[in-house]
Amino acid sequence: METPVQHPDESRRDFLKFILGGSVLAWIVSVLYPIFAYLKPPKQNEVEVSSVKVGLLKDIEKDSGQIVKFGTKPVILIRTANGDLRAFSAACTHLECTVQYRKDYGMIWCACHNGKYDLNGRNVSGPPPRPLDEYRVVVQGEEVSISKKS
Amino acid sequence: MKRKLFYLGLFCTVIFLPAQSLLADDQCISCHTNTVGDKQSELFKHDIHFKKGISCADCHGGNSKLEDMDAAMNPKEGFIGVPKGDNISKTCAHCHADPEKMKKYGSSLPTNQWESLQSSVHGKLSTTGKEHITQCVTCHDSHGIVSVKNSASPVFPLNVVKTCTKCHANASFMQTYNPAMPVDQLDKYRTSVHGVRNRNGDPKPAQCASCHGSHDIRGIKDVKSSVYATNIPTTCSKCHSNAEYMKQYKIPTDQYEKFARSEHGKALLQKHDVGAPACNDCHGNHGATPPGVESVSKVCGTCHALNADLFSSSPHKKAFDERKLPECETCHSNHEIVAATDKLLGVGSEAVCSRCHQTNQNVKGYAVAKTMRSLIDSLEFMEQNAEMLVNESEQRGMEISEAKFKLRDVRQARLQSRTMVHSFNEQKFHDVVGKGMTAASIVQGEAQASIDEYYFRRKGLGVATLIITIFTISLYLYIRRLERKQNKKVI
Repeated sequence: METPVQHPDESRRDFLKFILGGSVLAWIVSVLYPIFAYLKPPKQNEVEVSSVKVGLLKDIEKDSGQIVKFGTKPVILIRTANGDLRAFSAACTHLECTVQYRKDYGMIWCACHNGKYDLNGRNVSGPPPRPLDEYRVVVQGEEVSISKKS
Repeated sequence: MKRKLFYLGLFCTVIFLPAQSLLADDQCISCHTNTVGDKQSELFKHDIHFKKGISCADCHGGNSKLEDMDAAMNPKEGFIGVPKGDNISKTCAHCHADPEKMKKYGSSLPTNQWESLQSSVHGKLSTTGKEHITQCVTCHDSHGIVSVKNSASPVFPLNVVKTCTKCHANASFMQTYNPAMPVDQLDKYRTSVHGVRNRNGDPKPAQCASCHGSHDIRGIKDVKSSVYATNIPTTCSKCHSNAEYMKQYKIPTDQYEKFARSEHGKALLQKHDVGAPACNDCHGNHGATPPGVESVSKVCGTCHALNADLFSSSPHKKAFDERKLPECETCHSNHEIVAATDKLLGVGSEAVCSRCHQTNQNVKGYAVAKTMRSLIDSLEFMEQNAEMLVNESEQRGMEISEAKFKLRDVRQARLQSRTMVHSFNEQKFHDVVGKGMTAASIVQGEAQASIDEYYFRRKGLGVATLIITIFTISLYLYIRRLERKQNKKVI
């Protein structure tokens, strides 16, 4: 009995079909995966911000305060009358209202319940139960940036 | 009758026999009374220790049975003379810290006083470095010691204040180890209800030891102290929750239960927030007294300052004063202060405004309360809606941090409006709520735009995918056709 001999062209075609089929499969996966991933995004925490640039030192007046967006949280940057820069979380430790700098008091003040903090962030009057969290102020040349304290 | 006399005689024999026999045998007493004639030996005859059969030598050492003074007071006989410094308390502890010895004298006193004193602020601090501030004799005296139940004792409830203030009202002494410590406790105490009753001879109201303890007194910042912020309600309730003890004073005894259920109580006792008020923050500590009608708002205003300021300049101030209504307490209660939710505002069944303002009584206030509630409800609804949209957008992976940041302004306006309620001024209230509503509209708009952008991108992706798929299938079919043509040519 004679065994059938495989034609060399037929063998090459099978190989090409195999490559083509594999490519189609890889294409389907590469198309479907991002689609599903896009349609059902993973639950992720907000992006952690570790540092933000505020601006130039010459633009920050003495005896003033400003709210800086630090990710989704507010930070209050204060430049004291003698030029020191200090930054604290601007979320009042009582009920998380945004605090502000009061030039007339020389203090950090919360408009919601009259909570007061000194310029070191310490709660000195009203309902706040604890001091404001402190942030680090870095001055590089003229550029002022705020970062989280490690 | 004869039997009764017999028992009385037996009792007197048991009580006085040790003292009488001691008096006869004790050469220390004999010599110091008859020859020296000093005060100590005279006082000691009335001392509870003397009556229990304890001799001078038990504290001072030596041999009290020897007539020869030099032999009796010879160090070889264990004579130590007058104990100095910490040795004073150690001498007392020799018996008072030994349960067996105390049992022998028929005492039911606790035997941990020495241990407690050592761990107390008095037993830890020293001004000279040689001895601690307080020894047993500082409070109990040395030779005329009587039971704490005896009104002559310096630690009898009516005498405790005088005993403690020997040091605590002495500014120059207190300066030597704690210059910041007040020395006006006695003056304040005498203004308190406790102090007035104590001065009038009632031993039941609180004196120093009732709140601070006796041997185990700790600093106010020591978490184990009975007057540490979180322990104060329990300390006060020892008496104030005891209906039997408080019966004669005809005041309620449910303050602790009410306080524990209140917002202040939950913050202090459950969350251990030491910034939350305890009993003394409203009533005072040494000058403890219930705040009068006119004082309530000032007391509450020490923390809730803005509310108190707004109330003072509101039309309610005059109305409350005329009716002698306590300002904050009328709406918020005193010990059982519940969370100040929006339910308290308005004219509904749970609203406090409707207690005075009805459709046929104080009508203007009724209308203002109704409007205020409606405004704050609208703001809350808008805030919830904005928050929901921001969350939805965030969940879909969109960058929404700007709107999320602005959402804080909405919440802040809602909180400020709750404070502004105390102005009872519709226009001012409307201004604050209006700011919140504007911020909420902006956040809603930004979040909705972000969500719309998401759906636009999703549709775009679908269309692009469809186009690519059609293109690929076409390409595949075209290649197949080319193959077939090639095969036919080969055949």
